Amino acid sequence: MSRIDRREFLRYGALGASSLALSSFPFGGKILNFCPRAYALELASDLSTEEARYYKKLKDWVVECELCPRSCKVADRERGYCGVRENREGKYFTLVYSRPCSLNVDPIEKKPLFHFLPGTTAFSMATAGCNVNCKFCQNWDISQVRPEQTRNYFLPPEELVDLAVRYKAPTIAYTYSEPIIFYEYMYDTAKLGHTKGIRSVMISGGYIKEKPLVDLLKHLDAVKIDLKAFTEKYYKEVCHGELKPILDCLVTLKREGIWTEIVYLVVPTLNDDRREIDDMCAWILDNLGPDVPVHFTRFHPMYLLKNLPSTPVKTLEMARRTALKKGLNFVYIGNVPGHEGENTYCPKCGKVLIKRTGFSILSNDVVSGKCKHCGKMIPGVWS
Amino acid sequence: MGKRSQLTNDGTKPRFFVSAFYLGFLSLVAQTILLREMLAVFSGNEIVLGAILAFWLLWVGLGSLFGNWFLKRFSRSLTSLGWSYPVAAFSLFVALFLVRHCRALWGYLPGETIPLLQTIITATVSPAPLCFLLGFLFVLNASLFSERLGRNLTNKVYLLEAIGATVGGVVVTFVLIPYVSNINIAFLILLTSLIAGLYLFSSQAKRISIAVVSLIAIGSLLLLVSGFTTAIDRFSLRSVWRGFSVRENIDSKYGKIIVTQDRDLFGFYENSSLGFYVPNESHAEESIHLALLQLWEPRSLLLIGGGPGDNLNEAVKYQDLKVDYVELDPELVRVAEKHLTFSPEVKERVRFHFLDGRFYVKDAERNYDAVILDLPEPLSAQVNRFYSREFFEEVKGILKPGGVFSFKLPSSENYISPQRAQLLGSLKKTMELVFEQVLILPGTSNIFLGTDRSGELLFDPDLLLERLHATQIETKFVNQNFLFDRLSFFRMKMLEDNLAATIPKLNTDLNPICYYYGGLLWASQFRLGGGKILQFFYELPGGWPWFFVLALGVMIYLLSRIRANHLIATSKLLIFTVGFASMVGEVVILLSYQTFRGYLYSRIGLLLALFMAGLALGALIGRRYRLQIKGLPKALLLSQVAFVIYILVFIISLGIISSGTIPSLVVETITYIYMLVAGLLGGVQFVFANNIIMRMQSREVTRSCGTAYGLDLLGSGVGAAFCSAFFIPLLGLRETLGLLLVFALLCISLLAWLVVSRK
Ligand code: SF4
Repeated sequence: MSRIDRREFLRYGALGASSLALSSFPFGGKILNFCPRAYALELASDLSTEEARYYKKLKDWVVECELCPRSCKVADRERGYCGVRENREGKYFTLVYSRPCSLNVDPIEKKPLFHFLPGTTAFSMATAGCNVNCKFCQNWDISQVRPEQTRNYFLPPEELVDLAVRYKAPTIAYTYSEPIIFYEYMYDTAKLGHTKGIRSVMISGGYIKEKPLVDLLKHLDAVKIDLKAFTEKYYKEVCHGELKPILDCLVTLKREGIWTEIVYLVVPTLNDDRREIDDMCAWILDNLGPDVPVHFTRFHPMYLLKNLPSTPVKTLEMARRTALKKGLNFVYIGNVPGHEGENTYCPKCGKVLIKRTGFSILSNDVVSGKCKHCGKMIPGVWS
Repeated sequence: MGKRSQLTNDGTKPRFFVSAFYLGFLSLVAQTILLREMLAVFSGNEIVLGAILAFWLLWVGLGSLFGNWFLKRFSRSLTSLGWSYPVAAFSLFVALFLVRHCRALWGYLPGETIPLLQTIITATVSPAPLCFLLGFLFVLNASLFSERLGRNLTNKVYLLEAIGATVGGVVVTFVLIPYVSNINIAFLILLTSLIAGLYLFSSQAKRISIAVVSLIAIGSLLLLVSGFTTAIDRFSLRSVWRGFSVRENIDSKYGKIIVTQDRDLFGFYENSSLGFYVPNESHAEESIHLALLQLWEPRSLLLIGGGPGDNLNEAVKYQDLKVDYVELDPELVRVAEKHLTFSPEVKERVRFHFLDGRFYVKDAERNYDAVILDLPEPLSAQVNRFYSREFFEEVKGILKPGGVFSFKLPSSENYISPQRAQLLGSLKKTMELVFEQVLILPGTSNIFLGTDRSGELLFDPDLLLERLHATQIETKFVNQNFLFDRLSFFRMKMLEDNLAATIPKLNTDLNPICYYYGGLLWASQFRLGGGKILQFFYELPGGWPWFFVLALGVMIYLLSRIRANHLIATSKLLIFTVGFASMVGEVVILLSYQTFRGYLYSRIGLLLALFMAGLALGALIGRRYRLQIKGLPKALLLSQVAFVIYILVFIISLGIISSGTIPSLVVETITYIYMLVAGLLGGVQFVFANNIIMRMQSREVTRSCGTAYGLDLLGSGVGAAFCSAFFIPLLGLRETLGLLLVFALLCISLLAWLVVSRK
């Protein structure tokens, strides 16, 4: 598996920069020296007309989307809640197939996936749209708009996989907004990626129906789920979503045996109650087992919650203590670089296995999936 | 004659004086505290403020038009007038309650931004009963006393109301706001309204009414002195900030400061917006190091804003760096000192300066290696003045050769939306006009860097890392991975491409376009709502405000021709235009004041009072010329000519003021004079135009007074809304005045035509 040093990282970035356009680059002439393989990406001039794969036709040209639990009933010329699926004369289309608006090469730790090819990069992409509306969304200018409001590239699955190969990213991450809403694009890319040795990870809120999820998992290698809170009230008030389908999704992921990590963004005053965290950890333990990594990440003022201060580190430490006490083996603190809660510890001997700061790996003592010190198997995807 | 003197002797005259005066007083005090309460709740900008002002005026206008209709059909008495004041005061409570608790009433969370549409609905609905009543009360006063005293007293009510408002403005600015909370001011208003009411109907009302009013008055006095009202205030504050532990609640000269605590984290709020919080090392490391790493061994730093928190701790990590920290509000530092501990280095090497950042920069010496601005986005004219070309030039003037200027704006690291690109592009263009090299670093915030030498600024993460290592400064966030991730060329290129796709305008003091771009970006956060309306107006062909004003002029002309009596119709329409023009003038002055002096919040009451004093003076002058009907159009024409001259002088002086050569005290004085004169011209014209209507419709006092007042306010409402939301951001201050000039000339031609045709 390719691990990159920072020199390489910079070079990939330079390639990326040159690949996005060939316009002059005003940050200095130096960058052009890094562009031996200048490669222009095409801007999309229209939206896609790929037929959606999970919907049923009702009478009078009305369709019912069967992709996510929202089950939008959509009349002719209308769109579903996510804004990227449109009914045209009783046929349902995804408008964002091959139309990403954001492309980046990110460290896999940024997703965050801590037990999945640590120290590698993920070619990350997103399209416009989302099936929930979280008030703290850091990508709201992608997720809360329609695809005609964003600047989209035309990038069919083959080219997307090709880009990941060019940038030596072993993984494609479907991320930033909500990949479920560009399901068909993700599905085809992930499937194609496997034929070229590129893995796929879905960074999602998990608001999806069982059937499309199970079908998709055949082509995915890991999933990160944002479990945003453990109360229906929070999901309703803060995200315009529901908790129950997310829990069902997590159970399905466990049953299907895909590598899964959970992120819980701790938002002050809204989901930082110790009892709520305790209940959630108990549920995880009972339903998913002790080895699913749980990341308690720090909230920063964002989007509609710009007036809430960040989460105190002490609150995150309380959450981590609660989860460890409950019996979870891999509990992390996120968005606090240098904190000891960023490291992976062996549940048996207690030694530090992977030492991290921010998205950097300082040391890695997981050898062939086992603790270098005591030989305990460490769950995850390591090679 | 006999009847009239008898009436005069029965105390009607003093009652008239008290009533009309108190109406103005009540109106201005209520307006000021409601405006402050709204400013403290809505995180909006002048566009929102303009909407608030517009709807306020429209409601008052509608109230007086309703008064017209109502009082023609129903009887009026001193008793009903007496009761109206306490009812108005009570509706002030309702308005305050609705504004303060609107977040919960709309179902929003504490700390959540209220969308533009809901903000405007709240701002429209909450003061509606109060404003409607105030408009109604104007007509009631005019018609009741005109009837009792046997002559049309509309102009006199207008005059006395303006005097009352002037006194109210002075009292609320200098006596009430510094010492009394908004709720207690509302209780005082209730008390004075009850007393005024008692006085008004004491000669006529039934004993039971008097007893009821007296009891309520005594009750509210007891509530006030017993501290119960303060307890209510505290209780309502707790419910507004539910979930937070509120440690401080201070009304400073510059706004409301709230300090919250969550474990070891303190949040410092100014007017409900989170100013800064501590600890927040990631923000501080980004702000300080990405700027200072551009320099070898920086020795002097000027830090403007950002709060006395981690920025200071981070800055003093550079050996021998001396820091000047500028903060407008000393209360903020005092309260921060109470809850935070400053390191010995901060105490030793940071000098605090309590004044407006722009003033500081203007007078500072040229000796800074770096200037870091850490203020919110330019969403309002108040903040926008720190992002204008003039300010950038002033900053350049105090930087040593090769020195670095930096500021950061919140952004999205994965995508730059067209709205954000517009704002960033405008600032980049403005920076590039002033600095030789400009660099924008992408990320969750965009860091702007500017210097007067080309090729000096670094964006290569390797070189920045080398510098970081050389300084031996310990950082948690700004490290190898951070730099490589943040300065990834994907992100740099995406930012650049998106900025290249926009054609933004320059942001200057006189053309503060960024607060409009900021408003669009802010509004784009909401799925529904006002953003689309703003975008619609923005996308109209460039000169649309000119067409709007021309169309308004033509419409007024055509309307004046439709009515059988051209003179009355023209006068009525002129009253509308007087309201429109004087309000546009008023808003231009307020925003100029905001731009050049920077702290409108503490002076809003005084400036409004000066405008009202001008109105009173104008009304007084107008009354001195008891012109015959024949002379009135001519007088109106002359006053309109005076208005044109006033605008011309204003345009010229704006240019001189913006050059920065005039001492600030002179600018302040000039602003006060302009405000007074704007009111004065408005007052004179109102009286002249109203006199025409009164003379022509002398038997219908009620109708004339309500119509004139209503039209004046409707015109003002339309003026306030369009001026603050569109004219100033799209055209700038000077061109808006140009627009006003054209409008005034249209009115002059209408009047001239009227004078000639009557001859
Ligand atoms: S995927 Fe979109 S259209 Fe389909 S149900 Fe979910 S929100 Fe509705």
